[in-house]
Amino acid sequence: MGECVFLGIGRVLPEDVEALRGALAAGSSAAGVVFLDPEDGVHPLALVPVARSVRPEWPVVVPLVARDRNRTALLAEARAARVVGADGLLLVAGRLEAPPTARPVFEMDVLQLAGWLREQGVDLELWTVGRCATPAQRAWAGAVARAGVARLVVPWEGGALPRVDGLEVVPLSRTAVPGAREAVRPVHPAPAGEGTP
Amino acid sequence: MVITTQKPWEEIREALGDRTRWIVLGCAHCAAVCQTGGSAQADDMARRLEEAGCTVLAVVDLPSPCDRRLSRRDLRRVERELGQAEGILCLSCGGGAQAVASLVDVPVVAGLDAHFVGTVERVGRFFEECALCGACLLNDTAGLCPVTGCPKGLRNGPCEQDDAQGRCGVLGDRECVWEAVYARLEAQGRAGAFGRTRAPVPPSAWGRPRSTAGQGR
Repeated sequence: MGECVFLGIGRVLPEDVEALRGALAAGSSAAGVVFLDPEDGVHPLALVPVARSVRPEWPVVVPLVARDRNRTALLAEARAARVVGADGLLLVAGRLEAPPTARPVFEMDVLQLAGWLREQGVDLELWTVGRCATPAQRAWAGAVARAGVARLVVPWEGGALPRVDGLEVVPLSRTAVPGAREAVRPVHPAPAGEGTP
Repeated sequence: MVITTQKPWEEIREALGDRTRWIVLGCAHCAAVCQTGGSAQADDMARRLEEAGCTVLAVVDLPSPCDRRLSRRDLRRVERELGQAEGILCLSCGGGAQAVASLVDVPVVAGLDAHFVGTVERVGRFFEECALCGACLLNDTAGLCPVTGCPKGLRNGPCEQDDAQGRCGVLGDRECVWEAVYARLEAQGRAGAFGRTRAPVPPSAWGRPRSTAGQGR
């Protein structure tokens, strides 16, 4: 996958699938779609065919949410992503609301997951999402690059994009895509010389 | 230090059932510091039992109810009362209550709820700083435990919920523990340790029940 604009899609409820089709069709300036943590929405693996049917030429990135999944489930999901034709995996720890209503499980984090997926022979491009503003966040971003993650989706509200050796930074604004609930749209390309090593 | 709180009296009263002759055991160690099961709380509980129509045969402060050796020795001091008692109300953590229960034939009622292993700032202000994960990474994190300090218990850095100021996206008003870890490592000239990937906690550390005696007791 080359550098391109990606539509970011969050939680999609079953009744929103048709609206998602519309949002994908309307996103003519984009060249790919990245599904974010769906929380309690439709699993993005089920939405890959929807994206493919509307935009067969777009690469599709699906999330691999570590929350509440052990390694067996994570590997099964990563393999399923390959089977349904996803082009990349967005590795995320998963959201936690306070107070939680059920006991969450966070057995794996992004760094562990990246290295482990490669050990298991998963060859999809690895993405993740996170901030890159503080020294700790930047150090973490460097670590995920060394662990084999290729692209970092960063929430972005304007200004210069961070640079991280070994990572392509994909900025994400909170502009909702009409019709898709809680969808978000990344803004790209980055200012010249920013965002890519 | 095991941090405890006293169960509501109604719950204790229900657990007493229709038995009326009781021994009250306190814990002179953790529960005494928490002021949930020290000698004063044991005396207070004895008064409540008597007000509820029970007879309190003895009030005993055990140095460490969880230490079977000490409890076996100290329970001999109330051997006669034990022979008459219909139950023991134990003001200790669950470990202490179970150790005592293994040494006596009468029912043991747990009077406390145990919450976490805490550090003590002062009485009533206890903080969980060790999650007993069994795979300590303090040597890599400048002495700050992210497994405890992070609501998700992440072992390898911040998550996607942090904001641009490094505040925890779950707790909101608090700094992400990984910010503090990085700052302390950097101050010690060890920032390079931050990016090391630590494996998930192995099953040997989270399987229950845990002991240092292998499979058996």
